[in-house]
Amino acid sequence: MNSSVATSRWPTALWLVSVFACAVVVTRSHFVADMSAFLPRKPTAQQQILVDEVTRGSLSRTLLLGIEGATVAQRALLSRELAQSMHRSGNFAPISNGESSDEESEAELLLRYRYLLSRRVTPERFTVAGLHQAIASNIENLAGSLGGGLKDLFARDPTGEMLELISDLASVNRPRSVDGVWVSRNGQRAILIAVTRADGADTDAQERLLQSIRAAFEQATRANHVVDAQLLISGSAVFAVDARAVIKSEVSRLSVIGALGVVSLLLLAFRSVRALGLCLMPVLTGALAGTVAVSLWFGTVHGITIGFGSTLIGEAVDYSIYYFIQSQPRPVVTNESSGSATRRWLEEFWPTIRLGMLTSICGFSALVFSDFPGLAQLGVYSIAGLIAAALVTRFVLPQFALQVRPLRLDTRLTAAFDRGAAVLQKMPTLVLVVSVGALLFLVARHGEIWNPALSGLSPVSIKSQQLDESLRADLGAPQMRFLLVIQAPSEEQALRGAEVLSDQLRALQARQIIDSFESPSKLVPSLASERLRQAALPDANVLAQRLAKALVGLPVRPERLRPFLADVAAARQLPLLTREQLGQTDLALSFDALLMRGTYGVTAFSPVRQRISEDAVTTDVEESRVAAVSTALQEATRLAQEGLHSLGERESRIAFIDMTEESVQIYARYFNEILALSGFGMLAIVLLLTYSLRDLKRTAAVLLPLGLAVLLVMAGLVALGEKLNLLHLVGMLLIVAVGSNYALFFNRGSFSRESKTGLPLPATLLSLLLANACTSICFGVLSFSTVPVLHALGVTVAPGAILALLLSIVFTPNLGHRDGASK
Amino acid sequence: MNRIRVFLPLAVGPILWLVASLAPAYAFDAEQLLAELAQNKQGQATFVETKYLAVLERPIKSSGTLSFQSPARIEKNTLEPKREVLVLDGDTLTVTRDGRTMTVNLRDHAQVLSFVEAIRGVLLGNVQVLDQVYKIQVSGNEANWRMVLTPRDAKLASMIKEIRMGGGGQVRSVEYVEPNGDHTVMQIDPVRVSEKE
Repeated sequence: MNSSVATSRWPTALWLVSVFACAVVVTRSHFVADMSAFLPRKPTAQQQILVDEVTRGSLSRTLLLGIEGATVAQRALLSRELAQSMHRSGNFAPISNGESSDEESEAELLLRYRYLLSRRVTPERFTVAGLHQAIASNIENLAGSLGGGLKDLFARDPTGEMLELISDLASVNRPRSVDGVWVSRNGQRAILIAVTRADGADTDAQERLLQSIRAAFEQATRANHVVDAQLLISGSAVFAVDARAVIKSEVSRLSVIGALGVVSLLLLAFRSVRALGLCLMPVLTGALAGTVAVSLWFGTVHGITIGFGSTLIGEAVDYSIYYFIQSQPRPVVTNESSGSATRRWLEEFWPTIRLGMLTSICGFSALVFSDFPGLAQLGVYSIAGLIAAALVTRFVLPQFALQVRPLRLDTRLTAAFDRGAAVLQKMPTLVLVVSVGALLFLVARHGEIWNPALSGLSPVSIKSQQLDESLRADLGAPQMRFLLVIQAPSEEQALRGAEVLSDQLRALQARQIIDSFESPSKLVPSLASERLRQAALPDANVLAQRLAKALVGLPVRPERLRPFLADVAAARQLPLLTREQLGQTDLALSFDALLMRGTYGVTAFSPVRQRISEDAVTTDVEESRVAAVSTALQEATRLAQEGLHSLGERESRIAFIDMTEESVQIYARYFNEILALSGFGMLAIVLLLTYSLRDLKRTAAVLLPLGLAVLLVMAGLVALGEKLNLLHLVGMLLIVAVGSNYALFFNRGSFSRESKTGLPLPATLLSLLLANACTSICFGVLSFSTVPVLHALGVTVAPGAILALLLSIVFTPNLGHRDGASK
Repeated sequence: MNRIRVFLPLAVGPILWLVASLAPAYAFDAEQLLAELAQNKQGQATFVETKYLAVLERPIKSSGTLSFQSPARIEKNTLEPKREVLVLDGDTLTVTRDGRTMTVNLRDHAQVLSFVEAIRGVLLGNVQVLDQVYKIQVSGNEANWRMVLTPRDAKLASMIKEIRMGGGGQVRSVEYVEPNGDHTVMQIDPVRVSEKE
């Protein structure tokens, strides 16, 4: 027995133990497939608000529904029935479709607490003069069109608080109404809006609710014999559920296709199932190690990371391919045994492979430091996976490979390689010319290359986004672009802040700068305000006296207003209104949507509705109007903050968020971050290569084909109309990292020992082609994904890897005819 | 607040003004009366509305202008005592006061809806439609006629006891009476009556 074989068995033993341990960790790992990977880790407090609102707030629980098709009457009927069955299920509230809901209990609540809710309740109002003025004004209201409803309440509410409350709470921009239900502007669609009671972060619950809605719709259409009606649903819940479904299905599909491609190719090349099995051993170990690393580091494993596993297959399998092909003994030449062939391989080829692995790791480590959890997971996964695969190939495979029959190469195949290489060798000038052209092309189009929107990173399809916009426009809800946020340590302070802010916003509303606004303090005032108002109510005797005097000159007798005296007396004793009394009414849900308790205090929201211009205005005019609104709101924020400070509330903050602006800024930040990280990654690769190759000229020779590959891929993508985003940037870094694996082989001085002219042996070339093909298949499969992360990486790295190999052949000097002795 | 109570009366007034805008000659017969009404495509008038409410000791008045645009747009512009604009367009009612606007879809309120449909029937000269909703009594002559409408439906009757209209010369009046005794009288002065088609 050859002494090289009697290496200790410990690598294998260690490997088996590790595999077992990893398997255990994986079965205990928590896998998720939602959108969390796309939400950045939260660097600023303002972005924290956005993230919270999107994942858990009312935004995440609001659904927009549209019914299309059939006739107008049928759509209205379906709208009513759907709303009813959704209401009965108890899982949604509120559901609005234009029908008046039962507002009795809410009206009762408002009526009972009107003196604590109304902003106009002050000590002045309950003086003789104040009462006289208020009642006189209310009598004028009676004379107006709303008098019909007011007169019933007059005896209890002569000062008109109810009217004021209802006007304040009335939502202004209502959609069109036909047949008693809301319809879109063109009347072709019945629309509804609902808020689910499920937690916005619970994708499972949201999915169940969506299914129940669809089932209810089906039932309604069947029961009423309606054909041809469709239900459209949109909202954050839909996006989350769809994204998850897409990710799940794609992940399995892509991994399977990639694996099949690789397996077929390997079978074709090795014609041995056993060889295939051994080839896949490092790959599977790598995948396992990668999953474990992610699970331990991040706590959960995202589906996208598993999807990326297919690329790991492509790269990790390279190592086994190199091993099997390059360590074939060459008995004709040196009469070597398989053991010594392995040793030779370890001496000559392994360093190159190891260097390639290190450059890949440099590339992936750039991802690890990014702020996107999704990208960070990909980085950790790939690094762990590649190291594991390489180690298994280096230490464990040689133990098993003894029984594999050596491959034989077909002469026709080698002749074909030869011819191919010869052709490529003639092309350096051509390639350089094309590259310069590509560079000029990119420079010319440099303004249009990059897609600056965050939406480009989102897995939500364009179609879904458009449907969402369409439904929102139908509901007359203008894009909620401006959001004012109050952050305070407690609910009471948050409501106080909301009240101060509301004063400012009311002023803007009166000036018609904004259309309307919402605030939680409209529904539940701060306890401080309520106490003030309660204290302003005089006691029964005093009030009766003042009332008698106040009614002089007014057409009302004091006796008629006894119910008023009773109500005020009751209001003086009422326990203060808090969220609890709102119970489960629509008011309660509106309140919950506007006030959230978070990890560091309470956040209150005050969404602002802009005025919709009725007339057609140009974009410029519209933009300047929006800018004016933005400025006014910022000023209002500042004044409100000052107001809060002067009240002694130093711990509360009021912030103004322009959602559009904010998302542009977020994107710009991440783009710059990725740019910087890619730069460092490249630098690390260059330094590594220089250090290992110890020759700047050789380093440059390795980097040249890689640089050109990046350039040509970029130009190609832009020419094909693909908008580049920061994910493509990552892809380019990976081209260099992955492509270097191949380029390095062409620069090893040791090759020149094999033949006079420095051509790598056909075996080596075969191994490179095979490895490259596997990598390209696996990355190429990703380019068919609809998930932007995977698509971008696939569409850059696949062609990039191929080009890296081809261009390396083009630019390697002195590839002449091979030495016949290598047969 | 029961919304129907709010919006029924305010819809009644302006719509019924349409019924009252007659051409000078003609019609103390219901059918002729209504056929004539169908001729009006538009009109303008000033109004004074007086409300007699049980809860108040004296009647209260409001005044302003009315305008009608075929086929179904009515605008009531109150100038005194408090500015307010009410627009009835199709089946949507919009009230604007104090810079704030409230919109009501009349189709949400079945009684008001049937009422509106009846009046539309009137506008088209269709006395049958009006007859379905109300018992019609017409009396008097051209110079001084009266029409009294009494709701047939019990639910509508619980809100409106009677609608009385009068005309003669250039002053018209519309009065509606509620079961509890509250009643509203609107005096209408056409500013310009459109030519007969």
